[in-house]
Amino acid sequence: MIRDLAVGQYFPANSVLHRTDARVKILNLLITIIFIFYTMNYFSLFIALIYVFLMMYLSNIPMKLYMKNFKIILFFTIFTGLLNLFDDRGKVIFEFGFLKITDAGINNSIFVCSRVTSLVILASIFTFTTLPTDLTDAVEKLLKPFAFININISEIAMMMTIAIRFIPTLIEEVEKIINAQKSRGADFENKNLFVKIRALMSIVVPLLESSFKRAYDLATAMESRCYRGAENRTRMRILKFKMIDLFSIFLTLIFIFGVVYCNMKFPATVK
Amino acid sequence: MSLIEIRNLSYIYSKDTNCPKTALSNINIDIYDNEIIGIIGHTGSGKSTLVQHFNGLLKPTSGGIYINGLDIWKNPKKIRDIRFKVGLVFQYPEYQIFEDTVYKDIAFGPCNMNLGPNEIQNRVIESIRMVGLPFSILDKSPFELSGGEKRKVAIAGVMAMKPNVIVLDEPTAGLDPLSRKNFIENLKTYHSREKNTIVIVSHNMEDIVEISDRVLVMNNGRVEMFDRTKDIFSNGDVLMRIGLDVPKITKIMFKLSNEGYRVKRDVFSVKDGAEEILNLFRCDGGLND
Ligand SMILES: Nc1ncnc2c1ncn2[C@@H]1O[C@H](COP(=O)(O)OP(=O)(O)O)[C@@H](O)[C@H]1O
Ligand SMILES: [Mg+2]
Repeated sequence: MIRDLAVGQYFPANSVLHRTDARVKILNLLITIIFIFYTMNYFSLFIALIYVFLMMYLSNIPMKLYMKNFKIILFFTIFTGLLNLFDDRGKVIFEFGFLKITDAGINNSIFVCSRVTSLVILASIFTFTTLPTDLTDAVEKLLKPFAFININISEIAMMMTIAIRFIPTLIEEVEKIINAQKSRGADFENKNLFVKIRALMSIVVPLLESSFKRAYDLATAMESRCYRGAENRTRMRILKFKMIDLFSIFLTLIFIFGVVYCNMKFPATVK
Repeated sequence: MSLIEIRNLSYIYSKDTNCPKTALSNINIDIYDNEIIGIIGHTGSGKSTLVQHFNGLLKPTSGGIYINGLDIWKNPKKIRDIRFKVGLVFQYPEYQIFEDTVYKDIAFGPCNMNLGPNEIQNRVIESIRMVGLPFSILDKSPFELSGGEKRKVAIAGVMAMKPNVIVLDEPTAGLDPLSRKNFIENLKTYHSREKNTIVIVSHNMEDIVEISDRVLVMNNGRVEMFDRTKDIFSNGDVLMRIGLDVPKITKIMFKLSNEGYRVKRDVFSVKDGAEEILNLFRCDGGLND
């Protein structure tokens, strides 16, 4: 069932990463992703992979969940890997007719696959270990310096919270609607384009209708509880900087240093 | 031979995740042709989960379900055919309407069965009459209708498929008393006309007593009782223990009888109840000594 997908799901556990400040985790995530795409040779790629595995280990999340997320992007990874396999430059290794596989192509493909996989795993680690409320709080705090360009940050944070809150509800809704239309014999497997579109419409229209209804209801409910923007609102859980956060930053710095060092020290294998 | 046969059926939600939830355990029931079955049980007892097995929306985690003696999951590719034999009306079906006119929405099911245009038209008209809506509603947009009207349209949409078995999951929840009464009346007429089998889930004991031949009582994902309606409601204490109720008139009769008045305990309709109470006055107060 759709709802069993692990994407974007918090997994309660007690780990170093769960206890790390969400702000630190967001920044770490952004920086490490940038540097993972900056790995130029096998040495720096190796360091990146070690970092990813270390994070998986520290997260205390069962391997099964990672595999699930991985399965979803498997097709995409293989596809991009295959596309990158064909590169004009470099020594030809195999040749089938007009298709030539070169050593540069193989390198490209290995790098792209490892980078994409690492990215997905790091992002999953982030969502597995961060409560949605902490995430929005962190985004709000991190955006604070940009308040001067006239955006209402607390409003954005509230929108994010609501959006995240309603993802499971919408998934449930879609499932219900699909089942109801299946009960009326809707054919979701048919290859015919016309039938397909009709079947799709039978899901989208009710979903839109109920989403609008939900939005109005929510607005009414918020208004009747005197919601007037989230400015100066106090929090139940206060984000605080701890030793663990320093540790986390320290790991990231080592990782950056390792990647940059290996990139400079050894010749680049990919462009 | 039974029409629907359920053997050792268990169902677990989210089986392969970190929080599996057993919703049904070891269900064994038989439903025969031309019966009306009522299903009652507290919220979360697994009624909706059970009825979604009848038309193959859910696949049993273990055990099997047989319709006319055939295992419906023998050939999973053919599961769509089962949906034309067993029509399921969901809880709150009004949220599943999507076409721009009521007519088209009711015709959606019959269209999926690849029926001819004349046949479709006949069925739409027949089923709109069955649920007690005026024909003028057919050209309206479903989004202009009230909640109750939408519900009726959605039910008509399943009726129009003329399934051998029609399963209704809490069709009267949230309807006003008059609509509810009319609905139950119409359903009875429909049943005697179509000679089909009806399974109805409801929290309203009066409705259940009124319409069902047999009642299935669910409790925590198990079958607590499955018997003739009369026999189920004479077990008032069992029902109350698992958080259910008996019809109000039956409750009054229980109370009178507990106070020592000589009245029957298996009274389920107000008419019979009134008769019983009048009898008391006819024969000298009726108190036991
Ligand atoms: N999609 C689902 N995922 C997980 N658990 C569910 C799901 N649907 C229902 N349940 C659980 O299964 C049990 C039976 O639910 P349901 O069949 O809807 O009961 P009823 O219709 O009798 O109120 C409940 O405990 C409910 O929480
Ligand atoms: Mg239910």
